[in-house]
Amino acid sequence: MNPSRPHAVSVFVFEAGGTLLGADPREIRAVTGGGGGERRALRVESPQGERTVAVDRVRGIEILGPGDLRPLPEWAEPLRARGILGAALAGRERPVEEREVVLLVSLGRFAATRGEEGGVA
Amino acid sequence: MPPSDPTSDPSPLEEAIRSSPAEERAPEAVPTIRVMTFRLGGEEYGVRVSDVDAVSPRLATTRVPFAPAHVLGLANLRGRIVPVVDPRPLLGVPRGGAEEGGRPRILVLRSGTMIVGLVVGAVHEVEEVAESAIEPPPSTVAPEVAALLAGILRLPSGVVALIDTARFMARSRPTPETARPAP
Repeated sequence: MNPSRPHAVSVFVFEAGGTLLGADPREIRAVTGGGGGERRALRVESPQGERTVAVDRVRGIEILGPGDLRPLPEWAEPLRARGILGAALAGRERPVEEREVVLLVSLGRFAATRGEEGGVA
Repeated sequence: MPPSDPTSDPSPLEEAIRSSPAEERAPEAVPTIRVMTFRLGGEEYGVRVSDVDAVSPRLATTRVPFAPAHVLGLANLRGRIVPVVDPRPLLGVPRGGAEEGGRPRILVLRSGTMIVGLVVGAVHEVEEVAESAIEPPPSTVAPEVAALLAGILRLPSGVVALIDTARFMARSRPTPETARPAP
């Protein structure tokens, strides 16, 4: 929830693994790396303990209203189990048809699932 | 002429009148379907027009982690989030760009409440064909591909493989079994 706009939410937007992801900033314990050639990463809490999610690029916090959020299409619903919650249209300053799709994830579940498969940095 | 006897056998005229329908019957309507055809890997494919939700130019997609390789991602289609797939691996079509012909399009299909977009080559005309003209896929088609087809149509323009939208959508949908490891 964003206090200045009660129906808006703050989303931490970042690029990882060639895709554009968004998450609740409160899930992020720390953003690490990024200096001296060190790869940037997010430290997040998952059901299996603290995990690290490698990040290619941090876009920053985006304030999104209810009209910017979309449920996961029914066809893609099975991916919810992997921590993919829905989608958002980022870039409110642009016309709706030009906005980018951001996948909204539960970072804890997402990181835990990636961790099971050895994909966590 | 002697007076007619009502107890005698009916005359041929009466028989003809009795066997006639009460009104003229219209010629029997042949059930038809409308098919939108498109190019994919040098072959012609088709879908029922009633299954087509939209046709759009190719859109940027956001890749979906864990989704099977044929899932290209989610696209923003005028504010609507549409999953986009490459149908070629599922239909056994070799990957190739030049032979697709025309600019690639996203053909958004609907089955029940689900929608999915297919990246296809040039989208052609809509043909109206008799439902009875749908033939079973030839035995040379791999069973897993044949399972995604409603049949084939022999049109003047060539043979068209008619996709069964509901079965295609069910088969292309991510499942825990088809999910791939995260990069």
